[in-house]
Amino acid sequence: MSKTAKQIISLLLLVSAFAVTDLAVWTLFTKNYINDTSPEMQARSVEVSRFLPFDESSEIVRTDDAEKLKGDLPRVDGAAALFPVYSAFVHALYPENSVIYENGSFAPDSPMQFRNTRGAYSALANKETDIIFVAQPSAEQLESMKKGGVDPVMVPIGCEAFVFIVSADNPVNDLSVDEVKAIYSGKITKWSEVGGNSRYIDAVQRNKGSGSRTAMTAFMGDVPMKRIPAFWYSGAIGYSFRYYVEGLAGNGKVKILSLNGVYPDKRSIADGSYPVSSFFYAVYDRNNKNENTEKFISFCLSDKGQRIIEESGYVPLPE
Amino acid sequence: MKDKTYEKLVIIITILGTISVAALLAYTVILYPDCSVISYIANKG
Repeated sequence: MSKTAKQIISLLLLVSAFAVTDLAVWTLFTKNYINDTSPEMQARSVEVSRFLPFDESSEIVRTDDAEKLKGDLPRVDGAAALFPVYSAFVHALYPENSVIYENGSFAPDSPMQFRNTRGAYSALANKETDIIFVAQPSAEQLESMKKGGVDPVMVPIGCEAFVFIVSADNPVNDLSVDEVKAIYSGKITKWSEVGGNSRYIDAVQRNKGSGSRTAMTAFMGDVPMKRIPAFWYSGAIGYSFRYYVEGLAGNGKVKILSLNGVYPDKRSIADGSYPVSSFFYAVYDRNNKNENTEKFISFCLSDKGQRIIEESGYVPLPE
Repeated sequence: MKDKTYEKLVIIITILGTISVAALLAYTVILYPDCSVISYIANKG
């Protein structure tokens, strides 16, 4: 082989090596993180602008015959998944124009804010808000509230299912509770062990302090979670709350699994047959002396409040 | 091919290749914080 031919081959090999590296990075990492939702959804986990109170085009449930609160309006905050619910409460109870939302965010002095679960618990601990609408707190969040001198009163206002999701292409439709625990503790590592294909399982975790991570920790109980990295030839499983997946963030490319043969829908959540149903809460400080805070909570539990919860897509409290 | 030309080509390909890999990794780092669990699972399959 001539020297020139060797040089050309070596150059082609060098180009190929970089091309293969680029392809590997794209396939294993980059393409997995492409988010096809709106920029607002990407930044805030919920499209706040679709669910604002006092907005004619808002998609919240409207109740216009409730008695409006007067005087010191409680500051409210909450989780992304519950934003449409507490926005509907604010619409029902607060005087029009009391909420200021400009340039994609709430004004600092607006009685309605959105900081998502971690931010809302932090705001309650720092006494920067009066009522938050969230899933159960983590041990750290309880400790943080205690340190801040907050004695949290957790009022269940509705029910929701904690769900497990996979790609719509995944042949698995059902897992048992024990199988999910085995997956998240690293004992089951391939989909073929639970009736699926031969791919490895990429068990996705959520941020600590998020409502779903706290719910997952409670679901696992004494079983320690262990993340087994599975970048190559793997299919993912994750967890969230039913309405967030179905109603707020669903893209048709993922599906919710049934657990122990029961699919999480309004009926199976209400009758308790779905194994991981839980309450969601309005949380306030027992030392909060604002009488409107109690009125707000009472409205959440009233027929009108429960109708808002049901029509927003959640399951109201059992009668 | 002259040795100098060959060396120049090796250097150019190495620089461009390194830039392309670095750019892809940087893009991944930018995408990561805003990717929801739902998008990740849908993309991953």
